[in-house]
Amino acid sequence: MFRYILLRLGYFLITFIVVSLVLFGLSRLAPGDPVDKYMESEIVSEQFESYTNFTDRRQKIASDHHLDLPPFYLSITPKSVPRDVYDLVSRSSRKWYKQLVYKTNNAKAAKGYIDGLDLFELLLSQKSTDQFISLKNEIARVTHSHDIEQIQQFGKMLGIIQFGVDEDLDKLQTSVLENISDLAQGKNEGFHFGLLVPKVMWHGLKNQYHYWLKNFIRGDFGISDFDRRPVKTRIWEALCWTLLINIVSIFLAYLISIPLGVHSAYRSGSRFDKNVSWITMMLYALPSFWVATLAITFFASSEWLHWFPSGGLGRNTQGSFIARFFDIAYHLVLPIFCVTYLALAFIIRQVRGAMSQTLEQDFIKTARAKGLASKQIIWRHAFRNSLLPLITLFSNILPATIAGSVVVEIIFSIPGMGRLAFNGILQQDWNLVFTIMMLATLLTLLGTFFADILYTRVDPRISLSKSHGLE
Amino acid sequence: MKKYLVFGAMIMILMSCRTEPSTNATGTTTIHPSQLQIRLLSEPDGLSPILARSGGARKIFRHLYTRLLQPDPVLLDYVPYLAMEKATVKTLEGGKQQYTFDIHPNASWSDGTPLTVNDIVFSYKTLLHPGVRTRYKSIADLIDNIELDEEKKNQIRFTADQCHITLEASIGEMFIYPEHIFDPEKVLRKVPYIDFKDSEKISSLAEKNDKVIEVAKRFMDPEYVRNPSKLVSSGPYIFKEWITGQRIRIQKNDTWWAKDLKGNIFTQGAAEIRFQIIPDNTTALTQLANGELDAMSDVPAELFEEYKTKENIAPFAESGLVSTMLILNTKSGLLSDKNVRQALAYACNEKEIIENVQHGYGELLTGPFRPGSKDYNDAVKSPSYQPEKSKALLEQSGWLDSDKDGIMDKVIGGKKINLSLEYVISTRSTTGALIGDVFKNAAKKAGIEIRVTPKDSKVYGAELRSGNFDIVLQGASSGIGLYDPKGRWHTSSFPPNGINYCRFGNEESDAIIDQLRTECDDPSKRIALSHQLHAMIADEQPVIFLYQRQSLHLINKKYGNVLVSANRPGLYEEFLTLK
Repeated sequence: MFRYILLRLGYFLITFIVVSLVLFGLSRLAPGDPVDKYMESEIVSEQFESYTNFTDRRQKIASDHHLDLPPFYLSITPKSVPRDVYDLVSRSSRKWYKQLVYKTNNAKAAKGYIDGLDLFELLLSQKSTDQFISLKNEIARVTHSHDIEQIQQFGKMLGIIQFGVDEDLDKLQTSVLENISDLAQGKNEGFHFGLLVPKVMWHGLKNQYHYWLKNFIRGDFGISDFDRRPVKTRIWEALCWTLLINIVSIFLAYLISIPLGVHSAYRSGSRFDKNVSWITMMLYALPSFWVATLAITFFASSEWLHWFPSGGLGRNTQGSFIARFFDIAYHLVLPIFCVTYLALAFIIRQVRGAMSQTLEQDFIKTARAKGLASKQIIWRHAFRNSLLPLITLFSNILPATIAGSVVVEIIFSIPGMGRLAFNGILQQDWNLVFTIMMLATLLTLLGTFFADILYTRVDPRISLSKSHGLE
Repeated sequence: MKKYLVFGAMIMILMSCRTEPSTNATGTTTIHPSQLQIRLLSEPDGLSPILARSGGARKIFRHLYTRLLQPDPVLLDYVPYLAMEKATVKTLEGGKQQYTFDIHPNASWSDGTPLTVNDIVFSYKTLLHPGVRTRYKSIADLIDNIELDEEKKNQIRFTADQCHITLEASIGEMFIYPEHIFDPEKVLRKVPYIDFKDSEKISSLAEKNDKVIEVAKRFMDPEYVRNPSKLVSSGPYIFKEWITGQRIRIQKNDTWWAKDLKGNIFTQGAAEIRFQIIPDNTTALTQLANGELDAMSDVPAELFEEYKTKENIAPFAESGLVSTMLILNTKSGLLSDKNVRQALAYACNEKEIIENVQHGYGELLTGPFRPGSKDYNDAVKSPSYQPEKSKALLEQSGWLDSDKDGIMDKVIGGKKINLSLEYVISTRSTTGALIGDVFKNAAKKAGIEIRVTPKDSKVYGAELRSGNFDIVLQGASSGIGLYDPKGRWHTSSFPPNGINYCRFGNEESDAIIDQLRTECDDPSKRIALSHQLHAMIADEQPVIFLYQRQSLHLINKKYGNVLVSANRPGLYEEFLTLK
């Protein structure tokens, strides 16, 4: 048993790390530059911002959120890509740099060209003559372009501009033209074997993943990008309601479905069994968003049966505990119904199926032959042997208790985990999303662990020390 | 006897619960409700005016904070609020402009602390503090210095290097924060405002002085905008409660310093206002119909149509200040040809879009200035839907339907290219999809193929900035004051630092904008320049202005005196009275 637990812990750790890597990787693959997200939240659209302010602000935001660091401990790139690619803050600029290097094998010229265009943007930003405006437009056209011919065309256009007394622009023009010439030469040299030779760039501990994981392990889940509150606080506030709804729902689902499933299996083929079957099939087929909307329309609207409130968690915040309890309970009737009916339908089918199989076993026939009472046969012998699928179901439900139902929570205005996670993903609030997903992973692992323990309790034939080649 | 006592008590309780009688200026009695339930579409991210980004936050914090000038919802102009009068403007040496305000001497916070000019100075310094992340830093860009008067303790003077048409409104609109809450040790008072304008200096100071950093930390701490004990108010209401995900409650400020002042902006309404967070429209409308909600703002047009005839719901529609437009890429792709852009404008049926998408709740517009304002050039007409004219313009640029497939084509670079344009909308925008359907069908008759492409907002945002798009649907909102076109129409606002995504502009238009925004002395000159810019934009057609949508509100019929304004937030719930 001890070896089993040790092995399980090892699996936990590996699974945790793999899930964290997948989550982190997916967040980095999500469309858009994360720096842009923070930038957008700090500027009112119609207000003018100078280029200098913009770039300074961008650099500061990237630095504050560690987005100016490499994403992981190491990266595997072609040999020709230099380390200074991470000096560029923007994701699209890094990609652009790499593409220029792949085509020309001249990292110095590529970086010089990119920096030169950036400096042109800065120096031209406040200039309003037609010549400079045209140049700005041309620079925009070639920005992020790795088409060397297009860059050469741009070079030709740049070469004929006279900047007059403006020494800065004059020097910059010379420098950029030199870089363009070097890029063109690099391209003309043809295929570079450096592209085939991979290089492992080690970035050490200064990388985005490390900062995130280190804080996570310490229990610092970070600050939510949405309202700057600790992620822990936001999750705890939502978790309370989701746990309440899901625990009540699971309890009700099992309370109703087990007797119905067992009775249905015992009376297999009877009218009762048939009715239960078609009702569960129908319930299972109904999508929860539709049922929730219908529930509000028919049971919470003054035009039909106004038996329940249409959403929220009650408005009685000043009353006694009992008054508030009943107010909240009253508001949760419809949401709990919408969450329960699906689970109910599923569990009834599972219980019925497992019981039907067990009731056909020889030992049941023996029990009947021995003259044992039906109740005893069903609950003491058959049901116990049908518990394994239920335990498996239960282990899957554990992570679902914190997941919440997005649809039900939005429709009934319940501030639960489902709505929180959904909004977090839409807002790309990665601190929040990572924490929720990692919690779900932890509960899944715990759920399967407890399921394994319960299996051994329910079925003595199962032994953790004998299974999976541990001996 | 007992029965009568109980009955009498019930009558007394009923009478005290529901009515808040007050006497208005004409001496007649109005009855404000004791409690109002107003819908919020989503949870605000905070109640700090310069930090909050969500639209719902404004609905609430406008009741809690004061500012020098306030937009009057009826007059649609800025009127004095904390300031006793509008600014006295003086021209100083070198063309500098000085704006002087005198504030009400009895202004105070809800905790009894006087609201003084030091709070105003503190608020502006906070804007420029490097530790404060706010969208509104550019308000302070225009202000070179802020001075207080040694003798006149309630006077404050703002100095700008030159006149600017939106300067007084920008100064006046800034919400005032309590210095005694965020900077109890008055650390920032020791740092002159001018130092805050020097970003290197202030950054260096902030790094060395922990107390300066502490002020910013306190300011950015969400506790200070969610905890009623820390959020002191200077407005007509006090923040009482925030239950996450459910509601925010504010209560009438009985010690409000401006209670006895006359004017629309000094209205105090219901004793308590509860902002209920209800993300789903169907749920909100059901609650409104049931009487569980009292008012709902910014209702989608199709739901407005459905619910406006319900028994106990009264509909209200008002011109809004939110416009919807199609941004065109004027510098690359097929739309870099002006004839093609103009042809597209004639191929777009704005009236049908207003009818079918907005159910008639929208108004045509042709330029960036506010329709109805003097700066708006009424002589510029919207290109009405004329597919034949569109085809004629395309033919001028060499487009023909050579293969008779209904789509215009042209040989470019030796290759036959169809006039097919990508129209990008957000994946979450149902309005965008509806507009796309109408647009696509209308443009087809002119031989233009429109491909409606939903994309994630981050993706098309990046494409807008990089100039890699054809047509993108965008919205823009404006205020009631004068419009400064630099942010969207000047060439210095080309991306990445600006939002001139269509890359409109040349030397001439830049000169007009530069002159227009500093033309403070002669409104007729400013108007002439605005009209000129408006006409240029209409001619170049970098943008197809679709409509300015009306703001739609549904209110419970039991309320009267409903005030719905073009100015945000639209519905001014403090005016609601029981019929």
